[in-house]
Amino acid sequence: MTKPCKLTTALLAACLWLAFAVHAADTTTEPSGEVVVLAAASLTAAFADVALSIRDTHPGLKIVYNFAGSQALRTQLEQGAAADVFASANDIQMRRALDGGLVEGAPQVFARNTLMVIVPTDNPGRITSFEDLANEGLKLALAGPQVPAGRYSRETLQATQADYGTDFAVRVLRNLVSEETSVKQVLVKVQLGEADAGIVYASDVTGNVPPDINAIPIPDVYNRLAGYPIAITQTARNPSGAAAFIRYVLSAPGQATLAAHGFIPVIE
Amino acid sequence: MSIPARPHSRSWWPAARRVLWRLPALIAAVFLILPLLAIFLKVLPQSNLWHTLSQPFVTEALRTSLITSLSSLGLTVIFGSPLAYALARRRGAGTTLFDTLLDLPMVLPPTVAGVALLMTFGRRGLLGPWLDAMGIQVVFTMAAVILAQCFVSMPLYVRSAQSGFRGVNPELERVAHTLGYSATRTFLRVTVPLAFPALMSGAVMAWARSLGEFGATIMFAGNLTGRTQTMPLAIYLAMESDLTTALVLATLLIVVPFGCLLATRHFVRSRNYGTYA
Repeated sequence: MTKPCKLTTALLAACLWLAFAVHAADTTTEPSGEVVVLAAASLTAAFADVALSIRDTHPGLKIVYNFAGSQALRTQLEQGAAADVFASANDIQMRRALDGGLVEGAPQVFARNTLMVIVPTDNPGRITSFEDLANEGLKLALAGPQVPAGRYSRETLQATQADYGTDFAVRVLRNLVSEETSVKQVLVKVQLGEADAGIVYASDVTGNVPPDINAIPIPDVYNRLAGYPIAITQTARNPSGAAAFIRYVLSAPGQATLAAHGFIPVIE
Repeated sequence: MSIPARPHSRSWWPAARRVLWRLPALIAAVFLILPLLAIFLKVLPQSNLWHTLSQPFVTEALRTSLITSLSSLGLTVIFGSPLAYALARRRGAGTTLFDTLLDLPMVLPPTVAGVALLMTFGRRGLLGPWLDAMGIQVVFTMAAVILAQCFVSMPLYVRSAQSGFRGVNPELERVAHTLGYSATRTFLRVTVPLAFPALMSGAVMAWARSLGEFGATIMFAGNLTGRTQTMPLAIYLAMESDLTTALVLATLLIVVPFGCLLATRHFVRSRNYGTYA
């Protein structure tokens, strides 16, 4: 009876020693391996660049992305998606993830974004200002109310009440022809000329702007500033890599990459 | 054809062989049924089923799905039947090619169907300028949903109808003709009744496929409650906010088509139509 016990103890000790050794090695050496990042669709181009430039700082890291509407990503996390980092386009989806115990610690805001009206270059709806979105018979595409961009769009429409009249938002939403599942889908529908106008992020029309789209700014007073929170997931398989990714996004080169894509950096 | 007797030492073999055949079959059956069962097991304990079903966006999705899928069914039968008949009666290099083309929409990913439809009926698509001149915009309307459903489901009907028509002896049609029936009357009174089981099961399959259409719809028709948001779209979006609603809608989409398919099978069998359905 004693012999197997001894053996078990020895094995356990060896395991513990190994675990500590691996852990120690982890903290002292460069973070490496695969980091799976669930990121809001609006981050697609900017984060693709981040994955390239992070190699200068952390050559061992391999960043793998899953881009979708933040609400879809949060749902995927709930259903047990294997991921290390969650970057949401709004606070609501991040808070839900936090409440559900899906992410760890305090999420950090790493970028901000503003909204813009977009129209096809031939501008069939003859839109020249934000106010024109209420023109009768217009075909407007917005992200759905669960999508962060869709929520911000609706809040921005509500914020105009004092200046454009209480029914402005109602008249604009009467023109709604589709509630898209991510902000990128709004972009596509306007780009194809199917919708006369749409509301997307400023970052969607910066950098690699689709050639057949014109952007019209929304006055700052109404524009809802979108804050992007980021956090490590509870089930992260590569926590050190995840932490390194978040540190990089918040660092000067990371912030510069985001700024180049039309995001407003959070550090100067 | 009988298998030679095995040596006595391998008397366990027949039993083992039975197991070897039955085990994969059992695994396959469980694999197909278990996910459907899982939805029921999650839905049944819910107490607020009725409340979930009476939400405005749910009733709107139900209404949109019924209107569009039944319209698609009508268009499929009206336009698909003559095509199936032509394909059944004519043979040649051209028909073989077309026959194969007809299978494409069934195997294409719905997203490809969505892009293809956008490039055809979109404002900047092939027919876009022409439709625009007539003041017609298809995308974002119920018509777009119906077109998407027809595109993916019509081949199913045509396939089934084609084999049904092929099973009708042309001699019978000729006899009807010599007895003074017109071509149309022959088709409606002789050919269609004889091919009816195949037409019926094809129609039900096509309708069920329309009811479940998702990918092409969300790309080509967009998503708006009460206009283009069908049940599969509502399920997808409900997953992101309210799992219970998604589950209840999913249950409906399992039960209703299953009931219809079962009823069709029963109807066809009860009329001694053989084992077509």
